[in-house]
Parts: sequence; C-alpha cells; structure tokens
Amino acid sequence: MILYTYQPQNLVFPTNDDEYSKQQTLPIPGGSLVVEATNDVQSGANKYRVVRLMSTDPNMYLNSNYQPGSLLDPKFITGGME
Amino acid sequence: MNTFYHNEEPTPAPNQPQDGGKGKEGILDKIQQLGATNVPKMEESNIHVLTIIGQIEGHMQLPPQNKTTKYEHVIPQLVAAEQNKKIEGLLVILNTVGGDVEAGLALAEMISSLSKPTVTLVLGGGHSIGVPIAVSADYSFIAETATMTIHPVRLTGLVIGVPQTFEYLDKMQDRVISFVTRNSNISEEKFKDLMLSKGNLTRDIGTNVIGDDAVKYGMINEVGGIGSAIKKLNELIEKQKSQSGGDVVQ
Repeated sequence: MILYTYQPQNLVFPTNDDEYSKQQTLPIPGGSLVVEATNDVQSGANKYRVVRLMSTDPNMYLNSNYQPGSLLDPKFITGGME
Repeated sequence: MNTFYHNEEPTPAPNQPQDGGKGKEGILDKIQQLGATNVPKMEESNIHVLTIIGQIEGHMQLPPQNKTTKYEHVIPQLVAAEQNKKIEGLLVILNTVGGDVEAGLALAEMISSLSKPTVTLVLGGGHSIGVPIAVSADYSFIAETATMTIHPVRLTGLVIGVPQTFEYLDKMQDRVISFVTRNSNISEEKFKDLMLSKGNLTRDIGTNVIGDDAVKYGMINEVGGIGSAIKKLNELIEKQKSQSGGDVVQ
C-alpha cells in the first residue's frame, strides 16, 4: 500500500500509549538518564537499562555506569541535580 | 538479549571490572554497546558539550523510536552552563533534521545570550530550524560534508485554510530570518533567496547548502571539525579571561 499524504506518519499511524511509558527520564547528578525498565534474567530483579545519557559534561559520558545498554540498580540512582 | 549480571548482592557499580571474571564481562559489554574495549579517561573539563541530535521536539511528544532533542532537557543544561563557574565555554554539536520552530528558536536565543564563549559545529546536517541554532554561537564551524537545508516554515498535520494562517506562518518565518541575519554575516536578501529558490530541492522550494557554500554565503564562519572547534573555543575563553582580568585592574 502506498499512502500519499501531507500528514506526518505519527498522525496517520498513532503510536501505542504504552510505547511512551516504556521509557522514562531519571534525574541524576549532573544531568538526566533516559532508561527502560527491564528484569534481570537470572535474579528477576528490577533493573534500568540505560538508553541515553543527557548531560553537557563530557566526563559523564566516560562513566561506564552511564553507557548505553548498561543495567543500573534502581537503588543506584540517587537523583537530583544538586 | 542476555544479561551478564548474576551476583546475588548487587554492587553499586555493576559494570566496573572488579575481579577477573566480571572484568571480562565488562569488556564484553563495552564491545557490545560501544564497539571498543575501553574509553579514555580525562580530567575535569572546563568546556561543556551540548549535542543537538535528531528532531527538535516542541510541544508535541514524538514516539520514543524517534531520536529527539527535548527543549525541556536542554534549557536547564544551558542555565547550568551559564551559572556554573567551572564551565568556561560551551561547544554545541549539531546533527539535526529540524523540528519545532518555537523550540528551535528558544534554544538558539538561549545559546546566543550566554555570557560564556560558545562555538557550534555542524556535523552531518543542520537543517531547517537547525540553521538558527548553528548561527547562534559566537563562532560557527561546519564539516566539509555537512549540509544545511534552508526552506520556508511550513505546517504538517491539520492546516486551516484561512488567510490568517498564511500571515501567521509568514510572521514566524520573519522571526527565523531576522534571527539568522542578526547572528551571522548573511544578508536578509541572500537568505530569502536561498529559502525561496526553485530547482535545488526536488519538488520543493529551498536550498541545500553544503559545507563550503555555507561559509561562502556568510552563514557559517569556517569549515572545520572538532579539533578546530575546540581550538577556537579555547582561544575565545583566553580572550574573555584577559578582558575580564583587565576590567578588574582597570
């Protein structure tokens, strides 16, 4: 099917609401993290998988805890731009 | 996807190579995610880097599969960069397709009004509303292969076909044009010419300006990459330091 329209794709095919809730943004010292909630395969514990780090500090991108794909313990995130 | 964490007591930094076995897994992880085994460490930086990637998201939230720059995330970072005394300069790296006009202009105005030295670098693309952001800094660079598409403001989605809509868009376009001409060396006439020219984009009006041409038209200061951008930013920082030092002595 070819659809000729001036409307953007997301108006023609709206995204499911749960797609939006999959990702969340958490504040961390010095910036924020976009994470996805996942379960650990072995222990079944709740973890956050890092999707993206948002910070202007180039050093934070070298922190292996914040690299995309790494799993974080919810306890580990202490929050806040303090 | 399988995960590599199987220890009973979770450590605060699960990815750090602490013992032999875990270190190996950490390396595997790094190869999986970054394609490299280790990333360089460095000292605390006096230059902060802001990346404007994907679409510039405005009042409408885009589905999560889109890569977006959200202005509610960027604006606090810019405020922090202005306030933090340790930050002496800001490098803005752009690779954007454009997006919301109001959000883009908001970011451009924020960057242009920072008191600290700013340098922008356009890599890949700095299209439509990326253009005002690219020219907003004290000095701008564009990669030789990078492009900037200049085209008129338009609406997607529901269009109300009344003359007022056209006037509203026209005024919005004037805001973009006046910002770009105020912050770069391009004349209003030339910018409008590029914006409304025919035959450059297939079935659309506008111009796709590539690296050298952007410099030739006066929009961007210089063709260059990350090396020249950081060098220029350091120069600007030194210049500002010497000026403010002079003020104190008087």
